Amino acid sequence: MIKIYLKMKEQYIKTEMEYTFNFWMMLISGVLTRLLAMAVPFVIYGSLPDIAGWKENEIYLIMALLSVSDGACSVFFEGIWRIPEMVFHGELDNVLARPISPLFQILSHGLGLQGLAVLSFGIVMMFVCIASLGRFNPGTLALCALFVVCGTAICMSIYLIGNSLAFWFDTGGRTTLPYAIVKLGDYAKYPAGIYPLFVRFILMFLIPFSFIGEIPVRILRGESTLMYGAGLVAVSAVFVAASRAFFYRGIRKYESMGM
Amino acid sequence: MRKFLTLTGISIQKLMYYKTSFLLNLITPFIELAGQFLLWNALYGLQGGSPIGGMARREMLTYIPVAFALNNLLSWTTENALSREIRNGTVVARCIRPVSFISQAVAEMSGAAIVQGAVNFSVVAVLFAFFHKSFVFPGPGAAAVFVPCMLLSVLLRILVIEVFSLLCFFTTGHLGISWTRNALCNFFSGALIPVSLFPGWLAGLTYMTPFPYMVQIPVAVLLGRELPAGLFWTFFLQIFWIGIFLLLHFCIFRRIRRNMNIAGG
Repeated sequence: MIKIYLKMKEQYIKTEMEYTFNFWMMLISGVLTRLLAMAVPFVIYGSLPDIAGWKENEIYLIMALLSVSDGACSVFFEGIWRIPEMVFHGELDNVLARPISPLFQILSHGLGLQGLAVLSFGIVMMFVCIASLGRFNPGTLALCALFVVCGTAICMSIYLIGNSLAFWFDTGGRTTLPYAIVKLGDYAKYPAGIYPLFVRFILMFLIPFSFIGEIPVRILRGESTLMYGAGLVAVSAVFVAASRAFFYRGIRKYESMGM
Repeated sequence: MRKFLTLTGISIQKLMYYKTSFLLNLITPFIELAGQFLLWNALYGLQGGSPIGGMARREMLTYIPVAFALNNLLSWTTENALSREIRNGTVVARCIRPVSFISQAVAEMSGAAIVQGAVNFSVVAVLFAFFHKSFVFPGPGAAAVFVPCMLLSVLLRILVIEVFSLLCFFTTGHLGISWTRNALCNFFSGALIPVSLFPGWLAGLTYMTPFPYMVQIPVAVLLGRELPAGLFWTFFLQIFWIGIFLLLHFCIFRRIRRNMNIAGG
């Protein structure tokens, strides 16, 4: 399975690199998007000493972790974003007819070039932030590897649930619902504690973007390490299982062409 | 003008064809608006209500919805319609219609902007009506100057999108170009954070680009805030940037026409 997956990704990279201008444009757009997003707290910190006790570099670290997970999702599971279009055009027929898991086929479909840039940028920023916080040591790096794996799993699950909603809504193949969910993820660039309770609840339990950025940084700050660590692993496992179940439930609603 | 209005009407009909999608498209941007409100409300709360970067809480809370309404006049789908047509070849239909290419693009995006604009400004009006104590009410003079400034800003945005879309004739994908434009527009227009909060060097650089004339400047006019140039020069610069993008359109489109091959033609 993994051999097929890697082979498919390799073919996508080769194809994309054939078109040099497009390849570089996607990479530049990925870096630029994240760089300008990080410029917002840069401007805010020009006027404020801290945000609810959070230092500037800690906010950048939250954003870097969100970038790494989002970038990894785009590189490894880009096919998720094609679900609404596939449902609308009846392209899922081919996927269902093949003797391989439909979810596996969708996850391995395509490769987000922008994600490659977002992932690289996020990793660099993560190292820079950890170094600037004076925590660059093997223990922190091992923890960061765990954060990235869990964060990517959560991110993938959220995107899969969001895009699988296309099975229930007739939106002409172009629904903004998953993008609305991504927009909610923007709230998680800042610590949830500054928001009202209902937003905190959404970010922690319903669409748990806080577990991708804020909770890992809290663990690095040494706050309730065990509880947050266990919560992170549990939330990742629950959301992966839930998103898988949601996708297969959606497939049962699929009506093929002419929807 | 009749052809222009017909195309604008068709654009509105196309938008409304998939009703769920249409409603979701209308609602989605408000998540961003709510996020900005919550963030700035929290930041002012942490500051005990004192001004941030020279902007009082009420000014910021007024800035956010108006800037949002202006920045979200076009959905992602509408902004990318031309790029997608260029990439899948259906742009050929635009080339054979008896209306200029630029007029079609402006008409199509205007149609979408009218619908989304009606929703956005209705929401702003409701917010103003219910939470009037939290907002700065513009005077009739400021409102009168804001209207032409806003119309010019919308035209400028449409032309920026159109010119960036034309670049898709030279690439194999449109997303890289769209994301780049979107990132530049969102940040440098002042849609994410007012340009007046930028550090001096960054604000100076930003005012040399067309982006602040799409959001920051019209909102500053409405709020009666000091403009980087006088009112006359502000209008002049908006028209100047519109002229520049029209010129860019004609230059790029002439080159495209020279190289364009239509299957079977």
